[in-house]
Amino acid sequence: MTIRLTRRNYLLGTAAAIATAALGRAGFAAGLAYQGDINMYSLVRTPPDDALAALIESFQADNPGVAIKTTSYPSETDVALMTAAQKAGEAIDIMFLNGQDLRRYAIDGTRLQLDDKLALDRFRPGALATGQVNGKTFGVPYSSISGFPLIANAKILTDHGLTMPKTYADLLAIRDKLAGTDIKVFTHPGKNIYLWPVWFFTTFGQTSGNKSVERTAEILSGKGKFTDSDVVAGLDAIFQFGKDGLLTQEIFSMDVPQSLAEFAAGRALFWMHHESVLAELMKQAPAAVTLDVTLMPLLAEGGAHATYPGGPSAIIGVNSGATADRQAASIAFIDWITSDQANAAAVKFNNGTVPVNTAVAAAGGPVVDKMVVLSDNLVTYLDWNWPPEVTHVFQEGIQAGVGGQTTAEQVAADAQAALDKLVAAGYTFKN
Amino acid sequence: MSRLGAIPWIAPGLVLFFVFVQFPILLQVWMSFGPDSMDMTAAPSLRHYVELVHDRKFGTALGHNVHFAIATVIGKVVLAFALALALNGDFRGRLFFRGVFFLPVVISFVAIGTIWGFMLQYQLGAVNGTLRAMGLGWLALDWLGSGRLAMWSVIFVDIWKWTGFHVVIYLAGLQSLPRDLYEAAEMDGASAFQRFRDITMPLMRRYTMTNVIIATLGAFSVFDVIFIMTKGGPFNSTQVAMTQIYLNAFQFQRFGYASAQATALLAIMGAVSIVLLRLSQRVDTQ
Repeated sequence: MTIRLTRRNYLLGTAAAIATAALGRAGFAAGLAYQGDINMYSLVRTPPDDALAALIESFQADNPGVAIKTTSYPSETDVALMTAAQKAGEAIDIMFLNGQDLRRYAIDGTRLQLDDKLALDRFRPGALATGQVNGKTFGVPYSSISGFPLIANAKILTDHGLTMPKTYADLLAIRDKLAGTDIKVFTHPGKNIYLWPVWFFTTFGQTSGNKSVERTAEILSGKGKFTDSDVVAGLDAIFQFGKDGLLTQEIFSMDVPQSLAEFAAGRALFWMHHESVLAELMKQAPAAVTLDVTLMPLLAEGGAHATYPGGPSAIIGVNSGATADRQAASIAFIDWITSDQANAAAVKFNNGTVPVNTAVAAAGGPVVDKMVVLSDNLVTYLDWNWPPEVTHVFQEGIQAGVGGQTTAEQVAADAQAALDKLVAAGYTFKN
Repeated sequence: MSRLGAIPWIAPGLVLFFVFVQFPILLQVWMSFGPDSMDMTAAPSLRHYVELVHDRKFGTALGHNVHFAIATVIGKVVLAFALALALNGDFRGRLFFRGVFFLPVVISFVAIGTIWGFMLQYQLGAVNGTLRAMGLGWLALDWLGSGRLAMWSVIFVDIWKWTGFHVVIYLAGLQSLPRDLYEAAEMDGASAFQRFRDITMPLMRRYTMTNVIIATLGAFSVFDVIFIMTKGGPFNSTQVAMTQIYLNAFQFQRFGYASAQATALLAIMGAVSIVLLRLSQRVDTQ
């Protein structure tokens, strides 16, 4: 049975769509013991996740008396606001989070282990791994795998007789060709320190010989250091973008809306940003942009191939402190929204790329099709393993380094000092 | 009415004041001696304060607060006094202009920070766009992206928002000044400048001290304009004490250490307040 989750049906709120969805959910959790609100804390999605809204309606229709209440926070402040909510004693049943935030709560014992609660073999192993700590599952992936490729404006390449760069030297040649125009090679929301580590995940992927996740685990376990040469090289590679004028000074006063405006106006060739912005750009269809995606060119010789950082759209976890009947209702809801039917709808509705469910095929479209091909090169975000203090050092340090305010060696030393301080206070990396 | 008889009348207000103002402060001080996990049963310890003494980032942030305080206090006091003098006269549209200058005070700082954040953006912002359109492109600087300029941009927005509030205080003072002093001075041949220097300025000192105290305390507790416009960047150039406290509490979840930072800031603001109040009393005496 196919779920009729078209926008028209959702907006009209037709009983037929709800009934059809309810029929399609035969076997899902009818007759829950719990009656009342289930509080779900989520991230603000741009564009909004209409599929999730429709899935919530379907679940509620099939489980009268259970209401899913959603509170959404911006991703750069979700930890702060979630912490405030927890400390204020608010009842949080379901946490719909970024991967690194799920890890934080899994380690502190506030997430319920899900291995014997859900059928996990429906998920792609790579997607499921992001919700696992020490081999135990504390969160399951939702919707699609996505990341930070290079979003490109192919129209600029065509208009200036350029081709997609394969090496760093090609990037410099593009810079020289665009000199004198008002077109930048890269735009980036440089004011937002939250997004700077993505550059390091990309460059370190190459400078570590495509072993960035393994090296991160080594460093956090004490078998390596942030001051090792491959880390410093990864940082240096980013700072070189600033020295060579590929990232210009103006980016430090820009946040995401300004970067989006700049890219959509055809004033930047590349934008390393989350692929969810592709949906917004495809919807806007700006005349100055022909949308394309690619990976970071090879930054140095050495045999490593290009990768891009990413992970599932969200990881969903359940509060271990909730009562048993609330947990059962939460698990029933998660079971529904991660079913193959729901996953197919979520990916299609949200213009996702690679579905997290193995049995679900990707949606079509030239850019999406290209992302499916590129997704073989996706590597989990490294800060999903870093302690937040280390993440903050990289956030501030990379911003400062690109701005010429510090060196790669100093940032690496600061990161190692932050880790050493945590280790002295009892931190142990759990993998 | 005896003192005991008055207690039932003021008790509700006192209870509310204790619950929402004094109790959180006491709790914060208690937490500063406890662990970061907020375990209230743990034995008290001074380790957060020991760490605070060696925390160079917090020291730098406090330095930024001092910079912010000096610049905003001078800016607000001077500008507000000048505007109050201008608005004190009887002219057409006086009420309209008084309303216009007070309007930023009542607008949310989140809205103001967001709008100015867009306006001051280097490439697409309205300020630089206007300057370029006027042929003044050389003045189109990176107001929020430059480590040298970002703090001054935030200072400018803070002055823009709060000057109207200080104008109101100055206006109240100006309108309370006795007219006969000016008449007598005029009859004695004093010029307008002499009347301003020898009558207005001395009699307005207490209002100036009031504005200085309010502006200074506001400068040391500044958070919202910086969080919205720069988030402490670029390159930590606009980090202040409150953004550091926020970072430690809600990003690193170090509630004990953040409480120690907040308590230290409270002590600093208390000391500054005492100094300013003593100065104010001296001015009143004069």
